[in-house]
Amino acid sequence: MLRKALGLGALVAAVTALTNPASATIISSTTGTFTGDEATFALQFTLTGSGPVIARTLGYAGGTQVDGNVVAAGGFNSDLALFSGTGSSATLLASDDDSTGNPLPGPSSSCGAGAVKTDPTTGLVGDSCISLLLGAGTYTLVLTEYDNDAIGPTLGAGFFESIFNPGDPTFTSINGCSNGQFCDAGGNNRTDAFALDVTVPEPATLPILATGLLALGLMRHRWNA
Amino acid sequence: MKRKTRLHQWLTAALLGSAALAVSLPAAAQSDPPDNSWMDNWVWPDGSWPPQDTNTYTQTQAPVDPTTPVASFTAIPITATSMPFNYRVGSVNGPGFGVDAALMASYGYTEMEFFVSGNANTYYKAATTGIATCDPISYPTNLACKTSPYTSRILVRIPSNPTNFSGNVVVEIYNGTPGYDADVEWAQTEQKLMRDGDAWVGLTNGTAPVTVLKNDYGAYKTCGSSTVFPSPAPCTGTNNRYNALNFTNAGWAWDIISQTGALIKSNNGYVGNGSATPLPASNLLPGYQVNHVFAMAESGAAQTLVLYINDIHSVSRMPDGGPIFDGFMPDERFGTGATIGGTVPAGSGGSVAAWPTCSTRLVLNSDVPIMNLETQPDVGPSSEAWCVRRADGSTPNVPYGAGNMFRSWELAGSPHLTPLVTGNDNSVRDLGPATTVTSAGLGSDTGFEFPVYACTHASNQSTFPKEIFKQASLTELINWVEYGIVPPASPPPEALTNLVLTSPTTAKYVLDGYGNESGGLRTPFVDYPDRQWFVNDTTASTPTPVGPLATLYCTLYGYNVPFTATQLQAEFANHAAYVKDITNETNALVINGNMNPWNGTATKTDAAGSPVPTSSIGTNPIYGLFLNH
Repeated sequence: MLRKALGLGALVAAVTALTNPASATIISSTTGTFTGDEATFALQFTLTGSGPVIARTLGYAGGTQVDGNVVAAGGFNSDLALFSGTGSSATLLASDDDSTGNPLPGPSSSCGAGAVKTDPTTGLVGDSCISLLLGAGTYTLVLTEYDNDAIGPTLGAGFFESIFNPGDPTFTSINGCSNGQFCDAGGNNRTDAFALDVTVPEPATLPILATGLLALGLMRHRWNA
Repeated sequence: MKRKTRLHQWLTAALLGSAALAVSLPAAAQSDPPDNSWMDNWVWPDGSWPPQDTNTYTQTQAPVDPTTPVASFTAIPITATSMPFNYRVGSVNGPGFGVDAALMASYGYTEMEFFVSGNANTYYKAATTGIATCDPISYPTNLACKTSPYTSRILVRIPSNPTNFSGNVVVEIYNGTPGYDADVEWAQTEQKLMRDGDAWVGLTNGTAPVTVLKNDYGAYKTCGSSTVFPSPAPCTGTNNRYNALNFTNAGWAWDIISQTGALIKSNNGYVGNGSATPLPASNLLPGYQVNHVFAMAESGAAQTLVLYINDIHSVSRMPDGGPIFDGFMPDERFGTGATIGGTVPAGSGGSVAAWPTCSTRLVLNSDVPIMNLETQPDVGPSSEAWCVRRADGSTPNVPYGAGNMFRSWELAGSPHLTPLVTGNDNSVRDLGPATTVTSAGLGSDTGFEFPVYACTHASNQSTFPKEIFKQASLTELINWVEYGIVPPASPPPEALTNLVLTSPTTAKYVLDGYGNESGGLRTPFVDYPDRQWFVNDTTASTPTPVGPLATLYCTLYGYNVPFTATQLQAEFANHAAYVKDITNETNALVINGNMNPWNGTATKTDAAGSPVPTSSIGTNPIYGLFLNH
């Protein structure tokens, strides 16, 4: 089952640390698609020094990624969870939905209102952003669709819908959009697309950035299938 | 054996989650749910935890009764023309009761009914002079006291297929406030029970309900046609389904609870503490392996249950000294406490004493866990909160006698009674059609007399979904007993004055900016409200109230006043924001164990389908999850 789940969808990941013209060091600039509401995208990266890291999604309202890729609006409402470490024992550092510090499990380290765009069609915010000062170490960033939020305090505790409503790739259908999948909280139809940037905004503050990026891929959780 | 517990959910989820991320889960992480301390932000404005009393609630550990008898039983056949009172899967008048027949069919549940019989003691206080032979305090183990033959009845709802049975049996002490057996706890917890494969047993435990069963229901069932409520005249006498009932002394109630519980726990051979002697050979429920037995009750019946917990549970035991009941859920207690009741045998020298009012309702420590759900008015200014509220505890019963396992959730915004409870009550069907009720009482027939009344705000009666939290409470109790998972604590409502062990007349609660109660168990229904919740109503003058309960019921119902669109738009930026507020708090409650996942989904679905904040929810608003209970 897991073998079938791995590798579904399209994944484009920048796997190296680059310094872009806008003076941000890119840990990852990624786009992809989910096969269902319960899919998750996990990204591991390693820092060898301390510094600020910003993780931001752009799939909902669109925009230009740090690597110059232009993303169209229309993707699903994405949430982010950042863990220290890898595997089930990794510790939840921060969660975010809409970059507004919504009361999700774990500390909120959202970038604040205005850090993500408003979708011109729906008039809603559906992207997320975490800004956090991190020390040297390995981290796991997980992108999910709202409201499949990390439960915490560890990665092993799982994500809400995957735990309490397992095997349902259409859990957002309760919001009433006609597609029956990838519905936002306003009941609007959205697509399966996401986009993610993970950057260090001020390279000078980060003495060393390792390039240990690992994209775990797109995973479709069909546990009961 | 079917198991769908929160722990198993966690274990399964954790394992699946680890698989998804291609990592292994450390064994140590499997025994504990996540730390959700981030949720505990509902303290009082100054950041302090609301006051808790510091009393200890020591239960006198009297000698156990090694000879607690096991009730005998006799099946009461269910035929096309003779069916149990409270029967839900079928009826001589139709396919069953309300949505329950379809629900029970979908979960594969069936019903059985039995007489339970034995010999009961009459518990009472010893006279101040002379020693009463059967004083339970002095002689808790004296079998010679159990001399009064009784026959009561139990109704069993259980999976038709024993392999779907969880092993848990929840005994509801029927609520007898209306005068008949009201299965109010079933009405609110049936989803949890049937989803998890638990068995439910309703126990008739009062003299008045027995009279109704014998005189009113029996006449209807054995003599009526399939569609018409009959005149009772030709229906008295021996053609009565419940003619064998013998429950004429309220004082027998305590042994009936114990002996019925022991009968259930003995099913398929209870082997306690390594005993090699299964009890008994003949089973109440062949094929069903009973592991744990719980007792729950609501309101007046809960006060009875509290007295049982405090004074009988410790002395009525299984043969090995273990508990008959592995956990208790005495919900929604208020008013005057239960007394030991009954009629003292002539010449005994004892008396039926009204036990100290407070101690009859304050739950003492026990060797088994106790979950307690209270609605807002149960511990409100109009009742004696100081006799209901006590401190939580989580100390296991090791060594014996040290046990203090108690959790209370006080549900802000919820009235004591909601239409779900009364609307899911089939007594009208079983005792007489509502059409015969007039302002002067019943019409041409002379069956059971239902009260006649109307509440002032009947069109906006509160539909606060307290059943959600009752289901979660029961889930937590069972998980506590089965797996040692301690339920989450919840601070009591915010009060202007300390309600703990002070005069109830000084109790004043704080209302939030929406006019709803602050503190208590916080839910999306009060934190992101679309209405103001009122927890008491009044009785209208028309029609003229008839019956002793006609004025009581409206004080137990609440009502709600929907917010206007203007109010809603000041509260929520848009519909998506409303949905997200509801969703985030709902998810937090599910994670914490205050809400079952299916009710979480229903709550979120209801929010998504709501017009908030574009327009008001309108008059008589009800939750979709309420309708679909």
